Amino acid sequence: MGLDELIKACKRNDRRAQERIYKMYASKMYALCLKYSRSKEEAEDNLQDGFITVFEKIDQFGFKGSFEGWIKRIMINTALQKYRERNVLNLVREEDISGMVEVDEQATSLPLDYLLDKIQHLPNQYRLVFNLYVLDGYSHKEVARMLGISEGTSKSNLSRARNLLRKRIEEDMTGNQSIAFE
Amino acid sequence: MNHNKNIDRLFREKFRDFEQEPPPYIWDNIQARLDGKRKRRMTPWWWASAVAAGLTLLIGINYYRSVPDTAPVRPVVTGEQLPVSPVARRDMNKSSLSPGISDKISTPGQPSTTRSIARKPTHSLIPVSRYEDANITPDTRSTPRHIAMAVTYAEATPLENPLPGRYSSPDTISYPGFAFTTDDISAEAETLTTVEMPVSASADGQDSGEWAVSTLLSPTYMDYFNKGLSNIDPRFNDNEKHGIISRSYGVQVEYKPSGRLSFESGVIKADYAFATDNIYVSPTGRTPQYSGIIYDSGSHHIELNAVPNSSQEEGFSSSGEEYEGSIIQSFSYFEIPLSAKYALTEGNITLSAKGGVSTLLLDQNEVYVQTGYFTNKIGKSALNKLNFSANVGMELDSKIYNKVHLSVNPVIKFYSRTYMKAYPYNNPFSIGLYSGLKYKF
Repeated sequence: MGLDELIKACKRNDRRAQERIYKMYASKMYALCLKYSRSKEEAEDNLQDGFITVFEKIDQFGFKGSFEGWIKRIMINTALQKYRERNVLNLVREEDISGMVEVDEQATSLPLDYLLDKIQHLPNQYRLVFNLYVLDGYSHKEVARMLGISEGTSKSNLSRARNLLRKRIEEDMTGNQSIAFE
Repeated sequence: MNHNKNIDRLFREKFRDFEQEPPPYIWDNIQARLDGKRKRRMTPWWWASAVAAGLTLLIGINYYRSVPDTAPVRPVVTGEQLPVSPVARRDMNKSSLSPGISDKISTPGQPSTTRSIARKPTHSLIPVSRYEDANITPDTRSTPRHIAMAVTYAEATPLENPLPGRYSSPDTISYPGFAFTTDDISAEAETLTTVEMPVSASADGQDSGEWAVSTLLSPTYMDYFNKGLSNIDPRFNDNEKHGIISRSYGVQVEYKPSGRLSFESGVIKADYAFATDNIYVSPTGRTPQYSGIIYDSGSHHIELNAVPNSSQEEGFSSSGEEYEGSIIQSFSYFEIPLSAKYALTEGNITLSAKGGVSTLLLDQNEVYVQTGYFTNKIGKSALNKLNFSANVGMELDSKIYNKVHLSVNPVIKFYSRTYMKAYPYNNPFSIGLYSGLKYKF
């Protein structure tokens, strides 16, 4: 059964087709949820809620664009929705936007789990902006619209996020020898 | 730091092909939620009961319509009765009774009685001045007023304190007494007596229908069939969950055209509470995320976990404190039941079977976290403002004195849309023993 047939079967609420779709995308989407969330638990919640939405709204998928891209947008929206609903996006100070933030070349060998942990520990809004802009390629204009903030705030948040990440990574690299380098 | 690397590129490269297998229970949870939804769509209890109640109503109405008129129609009677409709409706509006009641009252097409005449649409053509002329006829009005039974509410707002005392010792719930008084007649009782007015006004012995008003009080217990599905969050699926005995109270009006079939409606204030136990509570810097709770804005961040000390990463738990406790969901509705009742036996003690539907309007809605040390309101449950239930039950009616009867009604109610759409698909049921005094006119 091809992807299109699977999607059509999902539209008929075929449980086995839904499971196959889930299995196809679960790993990628769980990874995405992990990046946008503060904890494993929150990521799991978002993954569940996101897939429920996918199966509820699958009728609206018109086979025009990439199905994976469609699912990904739902997952990102699910993650953002929680913060929008609860209005907990931290207000952050507008700051000078420094240009490139660079880290020691050694950082390249840092394990992914470690970097994920650093992302998850960013303040909510920094984390969301960093993910949207850097990892998922949205423009500041789009980020601003998605988060209901100004473009300027998006830029300054990104800058703060980069600086925080660099600072924390470098602190760990100089002060703590226990980090496992690959 | 000569060999610096752009931080964006570092993360982008690392995360480009990032994939991680989610834990296997995620699919199980998704499937359970999809199943729950599908089940809800069909909810056999709900439909079966609603259809049964509807059919009973239709058959009943048709049956009584087909009974030939035996009493002469008295067109002039309307002088006394016409005011009834407007007054009743006005009062009903005032006390925010739903259309359920007025439907009920105007529904039965009992042909031979004067009171049915008053409700026939043709009579609405009679000028309103008649209403003013006939406005108050003290004799006929005063009777039902004195009859009204007012409930003395022991605690008018029991939900305000769903906490330790009530929670830990549900059997301490006290039953309000009943008083025959006109002084502290409640708004509902007042309304109902007004509604009743035409009946007694026309109670001239020639009609075959009977009216009755009753008070109701019940201990109620709400629970869920599927205990493996948390109504707060999937992470609490395995926690101990149970209902907390609460109460319902209200007033009801009953109309029995003739024979064994009768119809009831009224207003009930229905309180419910539900506990999820063995929760680990800790203050946190995080913003908690639970599908079934809408956190109060600005409420303290309180993290709830199904297992002790889970995921307290460095720097993110503001302290190491952790308490074991419960989540208490407490909510209440204004319920407007509409039911049909069929007497299985007749005599001084009557046993009847009944079924119907209720419309429920959400009133209070609170979620508490309760530990041995503190109780905190954290928000509200994700409940729909409008809910419906299908009700099935029995009535045991026994004559106490003259026209006063004791009515005991064990009823089970199945709710159809308690929670908001998103989560969870777990509808509760409740059981109650609605008891009270009934006055038959």
